[in-house]
Amino acid sequence: MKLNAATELGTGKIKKKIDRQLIGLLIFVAAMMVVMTCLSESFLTVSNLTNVFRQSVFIMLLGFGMTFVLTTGGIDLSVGVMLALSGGMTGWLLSMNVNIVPAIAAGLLIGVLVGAGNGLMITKLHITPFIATLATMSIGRGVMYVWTNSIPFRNYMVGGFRFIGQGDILGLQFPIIIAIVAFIILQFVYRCTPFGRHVTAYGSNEEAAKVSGIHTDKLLIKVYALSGLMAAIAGITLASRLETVHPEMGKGYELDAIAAAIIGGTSLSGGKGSLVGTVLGAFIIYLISNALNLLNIDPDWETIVKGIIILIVVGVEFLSHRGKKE
Amino acid sequence: MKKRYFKVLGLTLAVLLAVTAVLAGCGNVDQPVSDGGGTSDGGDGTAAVSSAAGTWQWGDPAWEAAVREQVEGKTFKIGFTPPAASEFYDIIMHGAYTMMNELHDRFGVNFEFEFVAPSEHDAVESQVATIENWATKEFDAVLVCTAGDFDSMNAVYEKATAAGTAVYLFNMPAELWDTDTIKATSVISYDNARQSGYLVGQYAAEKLNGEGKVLFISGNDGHWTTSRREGFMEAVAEYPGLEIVGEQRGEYVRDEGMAAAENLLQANPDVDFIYGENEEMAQGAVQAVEAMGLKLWDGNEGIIVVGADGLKSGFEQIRNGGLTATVDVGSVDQGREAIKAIFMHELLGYSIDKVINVPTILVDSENVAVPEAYVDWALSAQEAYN
Repeated sequence: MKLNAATELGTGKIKKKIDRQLIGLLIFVAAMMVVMTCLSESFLTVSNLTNVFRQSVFIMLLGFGMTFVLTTGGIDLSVGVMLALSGGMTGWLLSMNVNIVPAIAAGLLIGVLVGAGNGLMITKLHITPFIATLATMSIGRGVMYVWTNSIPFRNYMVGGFRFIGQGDILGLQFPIIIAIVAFIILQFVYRCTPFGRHVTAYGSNEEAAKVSGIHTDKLLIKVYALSGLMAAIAGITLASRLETVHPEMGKGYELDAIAAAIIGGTSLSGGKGSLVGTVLGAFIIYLISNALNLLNIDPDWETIVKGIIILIVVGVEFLSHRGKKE
Repeated sequence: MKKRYFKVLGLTLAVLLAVTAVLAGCGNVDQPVSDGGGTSDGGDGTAAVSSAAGTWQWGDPAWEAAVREQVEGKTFKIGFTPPAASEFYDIIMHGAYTMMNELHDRFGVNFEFEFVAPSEHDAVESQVATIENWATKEFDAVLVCTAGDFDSMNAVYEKATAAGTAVYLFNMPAELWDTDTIKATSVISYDNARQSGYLVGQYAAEKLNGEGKVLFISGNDGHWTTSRREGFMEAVAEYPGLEIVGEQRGEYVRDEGMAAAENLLQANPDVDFIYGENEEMAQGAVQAVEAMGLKLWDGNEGIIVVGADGLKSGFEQIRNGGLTATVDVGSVDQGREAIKAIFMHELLGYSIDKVINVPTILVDSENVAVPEAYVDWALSAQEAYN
């Protein structure tokens, strides 16, 4: 209810709300840094923080696409599978001695095609996004098992390809650079292009968007194709980083990507999203794991603590918001 | 496409094997390879290995003939259900193929073999349904490996056995259970504690001269993890100089194992030894060590990373100097011995032990050739048993 109310208050108010959420997240990260610095001397080091950032890159990339999808009021459960299919395609072609450029292009294409396929099912067959992408997730995972024969693709590493997942430029790991570039481009697209505005408009009020002349079908297909493209970029990078494509690669990533976007202030009911928030959301998910690992907390407790912290991050924001209104 | 590629490769290897087998007197292990095919070696000295009949393992022609009379033309239906489709279980299944091929060739018995794996590792209910279906379809025996709870699965085995379908377990940590309580006919496996975890602990002590810092990356909680950890901890406990400075879960997959290793290495960059409870996690740890610019073991110094499974990818990593060592848990033999146990007990009526443990081996760069060749051989086997 609160969320719906917020969406109807116009862009100015929305922006303010998101900003407040971002401030909340930043305070959380800062508080965690202070506490952790006291508890572990290896926490607040450049190498540890870049390490966390690098771990979070894959969820972050998926989260970017997911932010667009969630903003339209949809959901994409197939990102983990698209990641595996794209990484698998590139790895498989490389293992057949295909040149690196067409191999990567084919991987990206698979992601875009599967994503666009999701969009087509949703718009032309009127299947709800949840069901359509759930079906894609199931089919895609099955395809991975059949395609790989349950034996991971491997022995595809060539020099140039290694660079994508493991190289660095001026000490900055290449996956991090990919995430930064993707963020800058998508932030521009989200905030400053008609496409980005249409996405928000559609998520806020579908009917109004249609009436105002937006080709909603085309828009949705593009959004899901974008999600596929981001999954493909993540998948190809992960294939290079792990040096193997397991048929189960990316399993469960969809939920982490959704969590990253939601922690970052993107609304599940559509109409509002924040890529900056998604960056922080993905970072926080891995920061929590990292902190608990550094403290060597029993792994059984780790998942419990993680869930509680996610509840606190999202809950505190909501409560503080309500407090101000009353 | 990939599948076809493998098939072509497999077929080529199979043809090569067959040619070698014919040339070498049908692959008898006792007889040296020679072009003469037995005649030039002087047949009378080696009567027990009459090559014309195609001896493989047991070797006595009279016994062979007697067995053949009893089983020839019979068709035996076997179901095979591992907890997940994976490279590891694929090797076990190919091990089973080799034995079925062998029995078919020697004794004329036919097999029908069905494979069903649940889509999720912990989808025990779907495995239960699979076993029940097979019992309904009057399968003669089922081979089961499951993440399911011991007691609840026991009830399933009891029901299937009562319906006339014998249950054999493979790759299950029978050492955790009281043998008398196992309702399956037999467990063909290895001792996860003594024959896997303990070996790794011993290896750590040996390589580090009993002193060093150890990281432990475990799999999902479950019976395998429990047993391997127990064996590993037991070995480590014998050396007060070995200290476990960190333990985290890697969920048996590479990316999680890598992340866990990276985080643990941040806190403990001075570790000497990382034990990843399976090879995927251990290889993730290898990549974490490399990514952090730390030095892997080169025979004298660096971080030692040890896994467990005995996969092709693991052997390749050992050759390339990534993974230091692994435990080959006898996957090929588990498949072979399981089929052999079924054959001896169900078809010939021999008694068999409740727990049959196969040999396992700690593999490093010095001895990798032997287990690798064995796995290669099994993987090249085609299904030719009916």
